Amino acid sequence: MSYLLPTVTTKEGVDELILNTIDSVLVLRVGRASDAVCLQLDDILAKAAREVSKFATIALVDVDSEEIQVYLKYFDITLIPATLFFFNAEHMKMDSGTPDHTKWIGPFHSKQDFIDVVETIYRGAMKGKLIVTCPLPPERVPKFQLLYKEI
Amino acid sequence: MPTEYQFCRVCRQNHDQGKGHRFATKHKQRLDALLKKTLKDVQEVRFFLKNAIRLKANFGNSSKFWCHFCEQEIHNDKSGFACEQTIRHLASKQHLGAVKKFWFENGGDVSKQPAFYITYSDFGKWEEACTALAPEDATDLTGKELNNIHSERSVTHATSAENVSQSSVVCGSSLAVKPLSILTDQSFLYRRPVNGKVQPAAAVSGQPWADRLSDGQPKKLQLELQVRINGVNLLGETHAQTGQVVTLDGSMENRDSRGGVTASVRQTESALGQNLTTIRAPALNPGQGNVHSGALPPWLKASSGQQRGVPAAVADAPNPSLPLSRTQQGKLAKLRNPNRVGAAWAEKRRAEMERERRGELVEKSVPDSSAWLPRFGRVWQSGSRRETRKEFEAEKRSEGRWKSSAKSKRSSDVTSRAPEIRPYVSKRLRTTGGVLVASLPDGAK
Repeated sequence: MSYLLPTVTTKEGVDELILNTIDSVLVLRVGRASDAVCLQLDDILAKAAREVSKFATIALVDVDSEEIQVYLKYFDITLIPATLFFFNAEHMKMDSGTPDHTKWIGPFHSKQDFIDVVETIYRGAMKGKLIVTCPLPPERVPKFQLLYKEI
Repeated sequence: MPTEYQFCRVCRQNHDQGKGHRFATKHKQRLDALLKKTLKDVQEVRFFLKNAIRLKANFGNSSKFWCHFCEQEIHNDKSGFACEQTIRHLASKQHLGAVKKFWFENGGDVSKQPAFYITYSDFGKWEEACTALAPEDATDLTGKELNNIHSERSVTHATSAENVSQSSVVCGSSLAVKPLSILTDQSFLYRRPVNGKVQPAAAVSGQPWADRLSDGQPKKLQLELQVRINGVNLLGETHAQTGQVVTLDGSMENRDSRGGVTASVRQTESALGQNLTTIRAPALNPGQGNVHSGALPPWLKASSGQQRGVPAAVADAPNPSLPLSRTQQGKLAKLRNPNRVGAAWAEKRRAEMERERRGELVEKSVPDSSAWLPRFGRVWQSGSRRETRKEFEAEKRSEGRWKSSAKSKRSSDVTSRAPEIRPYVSKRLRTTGGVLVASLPDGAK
């Protein structure tokens, strides 16, 4: 499914995407094209890309690329697929009741769920909010556990 | 004859319409709204009229009831039963008189009146039910068990209580977001404990009185009941969870001397998710930060190699702002919220991209930009000389506009002036014809 959406493999590519997306949400799916859950998510993203095209851009980031490691390190990505949201070169957070507000981890249940999330982020960002509340009910949010260590 | 002004407490305004005021459309609308709102409150109290519930004496009860008819607030502080004072007030003769007076003054459907007071027979039944409730039952309901939890909570989770109230402080900074260690189960949807009061939101299941509350009951009352009866218990549960956080995280929060929370650098040690692949992110070096600590993001750091890695599909995607005319762009700019996220940056970047598109602002370090190609002043370009001239004029004009926006007003006046175009004089003529040379200005010689 990854061939339906642009894939970025370099740090500069991600930089340019973030810096060139103005006044619309940038959705970056960080994952591996061969991963089963990623395939599922990519399918949803590809189907929703056209519908959200007026207020969002979607791109895929290959997690295995060497140059992307700086982003993996920065965003502390340990579970894939992880979906990041940006607006005007600002990282957007979402409180979905999971341990991590900085990214969406796992797939979306349906295309509409994804559209709802992106729309909420867009609406929040247009009101100046850096963190928004997830519009989805808890049962539609993938569950995971994280254990942090302090450095 | 001067008209006498009267105050209508439904409309909250003075009027000189006398009794006719209560037939006014606006008054009727306001009266309907007020009665609807009051009825809702009274119905909630009626639930406790049917289901008498004894409260533990030592649980403070801060619920209040505002009686619109008597214009007084009824406190349920010293109630032995749920909403006792309110029920007693609604059944009182004074309240009945106030209701009738209200109807007389403000009009309205008289048939609705009985809904706003409690009849003597209902009140009698409630009192019987109250006496039937033995004090032992109450002890069973909310007794020793809770007291134990209360004391336990106050001893063991004294510090975690602080964590709960402080956790919202962490989200204050824009870049740093403190990661949570346990699932919040969307508890953010509900109110957090504020000033010691608990606005519980957890499901009622598992509570001893859960079977007494049918689904059709007003939710507000269910919550109220929980606060009243089990406020401490809920607090205990909340802190039990937070206690878990503390054991998981150790010292997760660093508080500075001013009481604020400074974000510490932390990284995921282990992660586990349903069907999700776990990868190993590169370890953070000392001094480096990540998204949790609010470090400078990678896209704002200058990269060493300038290679365009944007895929063709993204790079070639038509930018919706490009084909728009100037007026359309102006209209769109007005629609954008100036307080949106990154608004200042977006405007700056938009202007920058516009200049980049025109080739006016090109970084020298970029090897594959078209700026390194020499310009030959159009001598080898196809097309007529007139076209060339038009192109040159347009270019000069746009250049002047950009300079004027960048420089001061005085200098912009100089630069934005139309360029002086001198007629073309052939070089051969210049060198051979002495007369022509003499006629040229000094600078051209």
